[in-house]
Amino acid sequence: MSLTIDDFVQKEESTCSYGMDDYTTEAARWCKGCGGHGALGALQRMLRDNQVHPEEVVCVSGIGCSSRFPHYLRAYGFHTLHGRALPVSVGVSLARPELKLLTVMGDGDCFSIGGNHWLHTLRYNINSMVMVLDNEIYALTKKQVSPTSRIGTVSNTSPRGSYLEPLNPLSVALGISNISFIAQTASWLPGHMQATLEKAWKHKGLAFVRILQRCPVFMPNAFQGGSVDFPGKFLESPEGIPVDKGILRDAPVVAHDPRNINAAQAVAANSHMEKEPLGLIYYNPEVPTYSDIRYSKVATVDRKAKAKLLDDYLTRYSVES
Amino acid sequence: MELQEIVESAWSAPLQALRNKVSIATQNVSDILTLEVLRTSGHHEAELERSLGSFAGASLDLGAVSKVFGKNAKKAALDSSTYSRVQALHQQLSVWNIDFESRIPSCKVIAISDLPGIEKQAVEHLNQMAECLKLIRMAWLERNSKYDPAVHDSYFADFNWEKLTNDEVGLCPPFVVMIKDQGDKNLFYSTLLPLVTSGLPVKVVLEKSAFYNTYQAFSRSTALRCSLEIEMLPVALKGVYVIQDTVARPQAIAHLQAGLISPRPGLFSILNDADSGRCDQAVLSRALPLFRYDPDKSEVFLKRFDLAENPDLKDVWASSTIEFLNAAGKKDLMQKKITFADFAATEAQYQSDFSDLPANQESRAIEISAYLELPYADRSGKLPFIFFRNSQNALVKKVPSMRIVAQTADKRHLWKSLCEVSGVNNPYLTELEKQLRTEAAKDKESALADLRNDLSSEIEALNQEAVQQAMAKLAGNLAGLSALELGQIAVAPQDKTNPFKMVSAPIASKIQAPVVNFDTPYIESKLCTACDECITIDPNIFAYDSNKQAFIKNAKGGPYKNLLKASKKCSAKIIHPGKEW
Ligand SMILES: Cc1ncc(C[n+]2csc(CCOP(=O)(O)OP(=O)(O)O)c2C)c(N)n1
Ligand code: SF4
Ligand code: SF4
Repeated sequence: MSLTIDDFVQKEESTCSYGMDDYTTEAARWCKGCGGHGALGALQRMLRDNQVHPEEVVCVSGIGCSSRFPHYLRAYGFHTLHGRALPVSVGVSLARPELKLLTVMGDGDCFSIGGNHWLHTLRYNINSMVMVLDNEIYALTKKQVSPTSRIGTVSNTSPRGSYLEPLNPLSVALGISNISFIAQTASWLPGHMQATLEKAWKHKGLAFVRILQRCPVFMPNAFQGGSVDFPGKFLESPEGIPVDKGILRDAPVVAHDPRNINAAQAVAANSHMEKEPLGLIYYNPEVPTYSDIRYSKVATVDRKAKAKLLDDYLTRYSVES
Repeated sequence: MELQEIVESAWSAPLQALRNKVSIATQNVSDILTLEVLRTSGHHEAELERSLGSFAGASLDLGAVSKVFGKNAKKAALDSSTYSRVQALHQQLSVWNIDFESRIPSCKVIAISDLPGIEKQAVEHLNQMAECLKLIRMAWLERNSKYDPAVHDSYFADFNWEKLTNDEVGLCPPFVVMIKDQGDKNLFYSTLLPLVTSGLPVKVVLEKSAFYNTYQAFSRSTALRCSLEIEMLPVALKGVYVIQDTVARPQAIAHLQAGLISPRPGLFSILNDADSGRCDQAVLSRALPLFRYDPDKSEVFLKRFDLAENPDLKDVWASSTIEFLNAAGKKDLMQKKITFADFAATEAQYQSDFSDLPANQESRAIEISAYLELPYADRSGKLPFIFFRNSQNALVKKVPSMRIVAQTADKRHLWKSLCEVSGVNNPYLTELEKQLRTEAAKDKESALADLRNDLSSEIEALNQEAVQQAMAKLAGNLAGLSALELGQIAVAPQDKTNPFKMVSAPIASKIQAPVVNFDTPYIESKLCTACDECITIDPNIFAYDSNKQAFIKNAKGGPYKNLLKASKKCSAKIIHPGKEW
């Protein structure tokens, strides 16, 4: 391959080299044992391995334990309102399409109060990696049921146990038009999580990554405690995420074609049931991003003709004196 | 599209990328300056008004705001020499940014007489492009605060195109000249060769439209007058990027693009005819063999020379099905080889070279493709002809003149040579292949016989094995052993993919236990989720490594019970506390 002008500029840039510190602001103040630490570390390692310029990253979050991400990641950050991370991300992706955008939310933040934004932003296919740290509970506010809490979850808002089957975010996401990337990983699988984030980072479009997250304080028993006994199965495909079983004792590997939406739907529908799928569930890099679509329209607008139309229209109402 | 436009469109994407980089570089440098202004005087009333706009200016008391903020105004971040350097860079880049388009020369159409000044123009162009790349590079250095005057001042002071690397030359919009092929073989020697061997990465587009006849009308079918063939040029000038293609092929643009960004001089012979049917026929008849020669593609000459896009690559002549009206006036089809003579018969300039086959000559007539396969001795007395579709769509036999036969023979000769030069055909390999095939066929026979023998003895062994396994299971059940323990009873395991093959040794002996000393404490750091558990328990024992994953920094940094506690608490169960000391 011949050199491109981007490589040429890159050559200059390679004179700087970033370490973990360049992506770190302060020690994260999550509880010990919290899956947030692992997710942050995996993200930082991925950014370092790819030598991403911290100043070209924007991290947008909502409200929740997980949404404290932008404080700890050394990059530009927006700690927005509960449930409203994605609308802000849409704005960032349109205003600054050249920046690398990362949106971090919790399950309550994304699927509950932010549910409508979630659905529509998936359809927009904005160019952003979207990480949902799913601990199946509202943790920051000290334990209320979330849409992904398993039936029977006892919490402050469901003292007799929750009544409904949980929402399946994977199936929901797959039902949205223009969906281009869905993957699932877990906070207790550092290698797999890093590889997943890397694949998502390189995807052009909305890369929806659900990270199953330990919350030892309020949900110590979810996901078998995020331990060696967690029932996971790895999805394997040539363009998928490399299988990395980490600590898992018994995790089968199954072949899966992430380009096949029907296969993806079958995998997604089965999650929660027996074994949680881990890896790339759906992938279609051909879906255009919202900013590409919008920018392509801007370039083709005939402003002169538009101005003339407007002028003619206004003239109709002008009063001759 | 005009050929000139095609050439320019082949270059348009990288040009646009360069153009964008100039804009971004200008913006970056301008950002540095703006930031500095904001830092030093951003809180001044005038600056506030400028950045907030007229609306805010009218609704806020900017004087008061300025006073409140004024106290916090920061000192300049750039020293004065850096500031003026960035300012100068910004000025230069802005000029480029404004007239980028006018600074990129379009593809030049020249006559032979223009040649002398061309080289000088090419150097000027390259130097100008080098300056553009230099400014982009400087902008990036400034943006990343990596500009070091001690190093970079002198380096950039006399920067010209000769300082560019090969790759970087490929980024410069190429200097392209276009010459019309007038069939003058002196053109090669007087114009093209000096240009492509001048040591400059100049690209020459040779625009072909006609096929010139340099063959005498002797009654011999051997061409004696040899002209330089552009197809064979790579053999003589192995460092020049050479392409031959037609404007009718969409692939031509991509090939041109690859040729244009090559840091090498290039020669692109392009058949330019609005009639795409004629272009296709020229290719089909081997009148114009398609090829690409990329000097940097491979170490191996054969791989640098690419003929692959020609039709029926492995054959001397390509075949085509033609439709015609038969004697009964019905539509009919005929599969036939398309030779150079078939192409020539449709070219205006060769009309007088074809005559109808006289009826009394039928007995000695032979199709030209078959005729040319005959040894010379067998050709005498034979009359080569072609099938020609006349204006009534009927197929008639036409006899080409001797000079057309000579030219067709020569094109055949050229094509066969090209196939060898490009590795499509290697007579030595063909011979070797034949030899190996015969030997392999013999070997296969004897191997099959051996296999049959082996198979029957293995089936025998397998039967015995099954009996043995059943016995072991029975014994295990009787003795009350668990399934796991049972698995450890040494029974030769089977290879699932091949039930007939026995794995020689029990697998257990092949799995090596990791070499770990269980006495010293350790962490499987790769699996650490950085959950902070152990670090909070005892930061003197545990620490994060450069991947932000925990390791034992000092096992004796704290009491052993902390090691134990952490290993119990660790959600990943990867802390091995070792032995108490
Ligand atoms: C509009 C609004 N409603 C409610 C809240 C209270 N609130 C804060 S965080 C939160 C739930 C967070 O749960 P989740 O998104 O799952 O994040 P986690 O803390 O589990 O990481 C709620 C309801 C709020 N901050 N704003
Ligand atoms: S409450 Fe749960 S989710 Fe929140 S920081 Fe603590 S462990 Fe993490
Ligand atoms: S307790 Fe285990 S997973 Fe957590 S930081 Fe320590 S070693 Fe890592």
